[in-house]
Amino acid sequence: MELNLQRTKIVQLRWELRILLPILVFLLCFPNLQGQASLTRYQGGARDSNITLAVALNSLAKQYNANLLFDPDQVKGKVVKKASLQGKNLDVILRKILTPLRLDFRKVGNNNYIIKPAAPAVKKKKTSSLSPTDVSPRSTPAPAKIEVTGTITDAETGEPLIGVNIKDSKSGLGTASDLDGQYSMVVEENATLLFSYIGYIAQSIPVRKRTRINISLNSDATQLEEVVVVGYGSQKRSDLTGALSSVTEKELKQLPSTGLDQALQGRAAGVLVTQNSGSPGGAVSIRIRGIGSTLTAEPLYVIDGIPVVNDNQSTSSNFSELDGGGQNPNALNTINPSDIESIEILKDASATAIYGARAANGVVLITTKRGKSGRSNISFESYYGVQEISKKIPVMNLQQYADYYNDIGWTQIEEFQNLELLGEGTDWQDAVFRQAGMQNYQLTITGGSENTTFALSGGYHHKEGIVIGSDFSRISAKINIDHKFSDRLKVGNSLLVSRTNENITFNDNSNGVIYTALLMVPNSPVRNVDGSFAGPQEEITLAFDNPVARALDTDDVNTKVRVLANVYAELELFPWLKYRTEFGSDIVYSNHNTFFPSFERGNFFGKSGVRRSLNNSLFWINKHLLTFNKTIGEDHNLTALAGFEVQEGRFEWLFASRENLPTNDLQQLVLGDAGQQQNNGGAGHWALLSYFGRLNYAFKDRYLLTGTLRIDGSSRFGPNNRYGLFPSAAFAWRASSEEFFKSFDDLSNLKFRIGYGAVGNQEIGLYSYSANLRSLNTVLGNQLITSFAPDNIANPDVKWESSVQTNFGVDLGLFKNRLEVVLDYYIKKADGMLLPALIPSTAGGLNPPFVNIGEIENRGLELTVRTQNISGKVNWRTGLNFSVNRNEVISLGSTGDLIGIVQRLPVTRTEEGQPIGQFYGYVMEGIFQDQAEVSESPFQNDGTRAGDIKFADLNNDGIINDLDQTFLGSPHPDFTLNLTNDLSFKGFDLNVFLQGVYGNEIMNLIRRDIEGMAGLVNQAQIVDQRFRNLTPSTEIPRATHTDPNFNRRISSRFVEDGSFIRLRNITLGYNLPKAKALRWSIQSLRLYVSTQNLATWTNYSGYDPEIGSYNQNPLVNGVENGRYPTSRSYTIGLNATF
Amino acid sequence: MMKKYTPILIAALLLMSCESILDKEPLDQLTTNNFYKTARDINSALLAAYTPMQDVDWTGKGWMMLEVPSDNGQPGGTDPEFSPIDNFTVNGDTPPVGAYWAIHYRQVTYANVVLDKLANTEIEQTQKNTFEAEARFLRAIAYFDLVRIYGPVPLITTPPSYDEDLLFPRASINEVYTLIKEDLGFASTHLPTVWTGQDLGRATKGSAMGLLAKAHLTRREFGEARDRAKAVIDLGIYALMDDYASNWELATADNNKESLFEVQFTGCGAWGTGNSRQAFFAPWGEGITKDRDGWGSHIPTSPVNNNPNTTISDAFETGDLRKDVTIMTPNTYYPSINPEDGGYTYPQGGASASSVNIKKYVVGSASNVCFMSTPINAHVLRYSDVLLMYAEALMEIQGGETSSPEALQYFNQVRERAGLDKLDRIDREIMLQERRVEFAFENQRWFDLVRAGKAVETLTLHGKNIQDHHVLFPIPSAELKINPKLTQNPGY
Repeated sequence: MELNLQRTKIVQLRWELRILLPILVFLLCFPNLQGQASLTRYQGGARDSNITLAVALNSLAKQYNANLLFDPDQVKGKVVKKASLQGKNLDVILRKILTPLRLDFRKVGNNNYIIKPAAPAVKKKKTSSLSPTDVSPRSTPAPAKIEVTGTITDAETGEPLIGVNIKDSKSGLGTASDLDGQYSMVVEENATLLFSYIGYIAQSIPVRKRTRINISLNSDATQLEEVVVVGYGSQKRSDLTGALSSVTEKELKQLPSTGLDQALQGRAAGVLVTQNSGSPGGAVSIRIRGIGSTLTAEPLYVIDGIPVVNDNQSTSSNFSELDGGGQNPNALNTINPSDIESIEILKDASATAIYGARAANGVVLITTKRGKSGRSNISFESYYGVQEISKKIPVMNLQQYADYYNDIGWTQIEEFQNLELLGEGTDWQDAVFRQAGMQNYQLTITGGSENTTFALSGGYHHKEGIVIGSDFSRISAKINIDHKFSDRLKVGNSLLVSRTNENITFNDNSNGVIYTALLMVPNSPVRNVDGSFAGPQEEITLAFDNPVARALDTDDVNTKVRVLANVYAELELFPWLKYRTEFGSDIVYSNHNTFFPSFERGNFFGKSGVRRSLNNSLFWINKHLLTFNKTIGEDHNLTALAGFEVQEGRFEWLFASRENLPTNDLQQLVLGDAGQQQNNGGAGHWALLSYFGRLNYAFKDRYLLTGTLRIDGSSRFGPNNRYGLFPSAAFAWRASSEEFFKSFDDLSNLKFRIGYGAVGNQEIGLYSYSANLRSLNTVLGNQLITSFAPDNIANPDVKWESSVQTNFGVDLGLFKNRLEVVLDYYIKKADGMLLPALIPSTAGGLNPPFVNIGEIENRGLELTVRTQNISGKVNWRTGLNFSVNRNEVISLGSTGDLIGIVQRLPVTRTEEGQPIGQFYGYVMEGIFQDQAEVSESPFQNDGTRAGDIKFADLNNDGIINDLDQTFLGSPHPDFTLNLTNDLSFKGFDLNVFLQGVYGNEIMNLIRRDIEGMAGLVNQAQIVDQRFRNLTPSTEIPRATHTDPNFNRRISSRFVEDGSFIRLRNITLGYNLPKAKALRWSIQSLRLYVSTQNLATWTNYSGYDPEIGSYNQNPLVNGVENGRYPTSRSYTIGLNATF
Repeated sequence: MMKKYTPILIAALLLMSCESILDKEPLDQLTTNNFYKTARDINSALLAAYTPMQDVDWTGKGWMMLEVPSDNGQPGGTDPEFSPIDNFTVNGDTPPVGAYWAIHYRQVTYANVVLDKLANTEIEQTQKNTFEAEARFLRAIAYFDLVRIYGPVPLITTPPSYDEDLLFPRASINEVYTLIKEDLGFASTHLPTVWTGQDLGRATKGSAMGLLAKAHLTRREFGEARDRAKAVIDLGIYALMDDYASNWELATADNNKESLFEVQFTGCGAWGTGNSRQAFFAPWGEGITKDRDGWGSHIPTSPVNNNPNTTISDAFETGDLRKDVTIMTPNTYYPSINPEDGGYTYPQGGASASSVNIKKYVVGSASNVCFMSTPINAHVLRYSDVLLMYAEALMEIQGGETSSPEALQYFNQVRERAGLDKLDRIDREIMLQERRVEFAFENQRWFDLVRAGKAVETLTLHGKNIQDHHVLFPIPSAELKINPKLTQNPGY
């Protein structure tokens, strides 16, 4: 008995993880019309007593809450007596009704039954009733009987397979393998054994008098056909007509990530994920198929049905504006990646069109884990890791700096005269970077009864930053419950609650901690003898404060509480028509506190200040969906979805600050100087009202047609264009299902897809259409009176940015899908990009109306290849994805070029006919070697001397000025390539993940300062090779404080190749053999060690070539501005399920 | 069966009730939809139409733009913005040319918004007329500058709207003046004679009538000019201040009995609410103000080689009390500048290329003077202008020369206040000279020279390379680029 139970558990687990979903689609199958018709035909008026087998099975499935899997072809035309459905035991009933119909069933687990033809009863032709239990051979003379034993293992893992069905093809007798994968049965010596197991390719082995037959079974990829989540539903992968990439739980778990967005990195073709900041919980930008808007290029996330925009502004506040820049915190880091079951990335218009006005940048569907009925599982996951900076930038030590200072300083420093007496001085990089820990714990409980299932989890994640003073922690909980009220009514919920706490160290800016650590002089100590923070030295007055002190003394804490909740009810109106309604909400409370203590360090001092900011947002959504599914005749399957949805968002913010608190110990506003207090606040709201429908039509399972239509009404659209219509259509042909391909054994799958559709981007600001007023100060009688004038010219026609996409795709599976190739080519044309119109100043200096006028085109190729190189005891799988995207701005309307600004410097330019956001500036030709060369060359500046940079006179007018600027490079990669290898042997598995980005450029603004040689700040060691009279250089200009030639101007000098190959992840894991684990009452146990970003091969001179976009700004990509670098980490982890 | 459809019915009901959810007006912003309803709203919008005049592009750099080409002033050094205007190498790209255009059209726009929105309110008619009169006055003052600077300009009388074509062609000079005269006529009828209390400084009947007189005079419609000027005089509420200097002294300058209209300023308010003229017109680095304020951007003209006697310093007759009010000369002591510190002595040798400097707008560092900002209002129309206009109209009616007691009576009021002898005959030359010294650096000289047809002759004599076409400024290039319906003035 005990053994049986265990078996059930294991089998069930497999069912759940890999098969249940696809089977369910079959299962909840829809009585077929023809069956009913034939019933009527044959049975005349006897409808009451007889029903079709399909109906009967469905009804039983519901009645006993069981999963019944059957092939519709087999049950077609078969009827059973209604009365025979009575009974207490499903097994008995099934036996009763199936046997006369020459059908049999096999029970897998508690609740799963597979209906199949009865074993061919060659020798029982005359027997009218068959029962496998009482079969005995009747033919004589009987061959000798022998006992056959053996072990059945998984060909991939070598692990014993438990519960494999072994059947004697002659007698029909069967047995199953035990806990150790062993079996034994008595059969005739010439019998043939059929080994079958769900999810594996069945094998028949003739016994041939052998008494021991060991066998390993191969998993059957086609049988395990996945069901993937699509917008407002799910679909078999084989039925897809659009471009969609899935990221599985397994892939998500391969490397420890704070946010789900980081986990997506490199996982899908056409999806470029870059971490805009490497700070813990830091910002990420995701670009699906290139940048198609100048406003935002981030996709829409749908988390358990709730749409979430990763707009880092709306759910978090930051004070970086006040400090002159920096990245906004990440709005998505509130979601715990450990709670995620799967992520689907919808890429083309056919896949995304159901999200209409929010789909232009692609859609990321996130599904969290749900419970399964049956045994309860408790799983515990944890990891601990350390992170470190993977590279330091070589800046001068004290001795080198003193040498440099002696050359360029304007006053002599006594101590610098004897270089050999000087030591290394302070290494400020060592001072601001650290080895940082991270830890993650997750406890998940799933389970449920026949009617109620649940998944509960709690998680804790803590990650220190590699920059001192920064860390991130998250406490999260999840409660997902599903309950069946009756056969027809199901209700449930998902609830994700989290609280994140982010300690921010100011970075990603030229006065950030990392940036200033590079520029701090090495003769300045971190701390004084008494332990207090030291300030800059008197001799070298710098504009920088001690970065260590700033990182540690300043409290900058952003706390967010997020509640994502969704409840649903699903009602079966007819077997072929389901109604579902959902109500969801997303509530975010964000609280950002900053405190600067008063200080006096060296010649630096400051007064204390406190800033507080509250951002609250509330979002709700209500959906009504009708899903229709019917197979008409044999060949026509129709699935239709009609939906209505309304959603509303509202937010408010409050800001207050005071200065000069009497003590650094108490940090509340009330203690500050009321005379200098500031406060501000505001609010906003928006709404969407949408109607949508989708029709999937499959003819003979090989001609697939999808049509989608969505109408979105948005409060953001002008009154003249309040509703947008977003249609799409796609067609797919599964050529491999055609008769003429069936003879090609090696061709497992061949599908051609073509799709076309229009979607939109509604992230155009809340009130772009509205005519706002500006407040002015009018003076009358020496008084200021507030007056109001129009601020802008309203365009009541403002609407979504439209994106029209065409997609061509091929899916190819060869050699039983051991080689799978997915190839997509797309043309994505964003037109109607919202840009300000160019208007004359006779319009009174009002801000111009935004008009839908710009056009951007992205064309690209995506290739995904998955291979199973070796299978058997050693298993080796390779996955590769390759993406190419070409971006071109077709039109900017009348707006003219768009400029991207960083550090108040125009760094990028977006021009028609060019990719978006290329670097723009002067071209460095070389270094003037002597004064003669200066005077012979085009005029640069009065102060230009030998040793200065010679810039190219691009327009040959003899003078270097604005007109000599040009495009210096593109931040967009030529292609990206990600390669992942999974090896397994026995219980061990190894994952190696390589990430490659090729052909992008980086504008390294840090070098403007560390190689700028302006002022007395510390410099990169390389400036030792600068131009000097006795040692001329052709690379590095002379040192000059005043920089009369503007050597530091934005030029090709600072543009670097950003290509890299990164060893993103190596994980080595060990899974305790199942049999052993089970003996210890553990379902599974896995131990692993892993390392992330162990090595990066690049020519880039900065910390990390992965730069991303600045605050998700589509115009500013790949600009190094003191970005918080991505760390290298080492992790050890343990996952256990009980 | 009905039960089955209940959810669908609920959904359908929701659909119907949800439409209004999409109407989301901004929560923290006023919009044209929720404003312009009450008299208070309209008044607020009307006051906004006064702000372009407060802008540095109008009363700071804008006034400088009309002083440097004249024989009164020049830039303090090589100035990429103003030197081309000074030496008549100006073109459509010269920045002040575009800024002046833009700031004046801003006032036109703000006034047009009021006129447009006023029509749809239910404000009582008399009040409505006053609002309308004030808006039309503000529009007229902008167009009057525009037409005198650029000649034929686009004549826009409706607020800009996305539906309408934003690109207007140039109207004729005559059409522009027709609108100016209609606007000022309406304003003369409906504006109050005086404003009091908080409203002090808003346009009055006298403001409109005085400006209308000037418009007529510019159009050489001397009969109308005479009548309008006389009507102002007959209002009986204006008089010359006893002391010319008191028009520029903190205590007495603002909204005094001599003032028909002035741009209102306060000292240390928000940016754009203070008079920036001290910054532009005061000598650089001379410690006149506490904030090192004084950029020497604009100085009196330097003598020119072939005709050294054409500078503003030389223009004053001996004994003219206005001279020391207008310019600072070396070693002169000015007790009214920095009175808290005991006054100010202009240094030996002078702080400018012409050794003299402009005194009129320098108040020093009083307590209510801030960075780039003094509280003194900027005079647009003084009563002495009305007196001289009246005399000029009479003189022109009599052929450009007169000894009529009526004309001389008002003309001599101005001279007597300046401490000069009465004249018993005036002609065009005398009139031009008298206006030059009375209104030096008050943005009148350029207009007077052009109006008198003397600009080219006088400025050539002053050593400038002025051509006939320079009496009109160029149309801003950026504007021509955007609006193909515009044409450039001839010669540019």
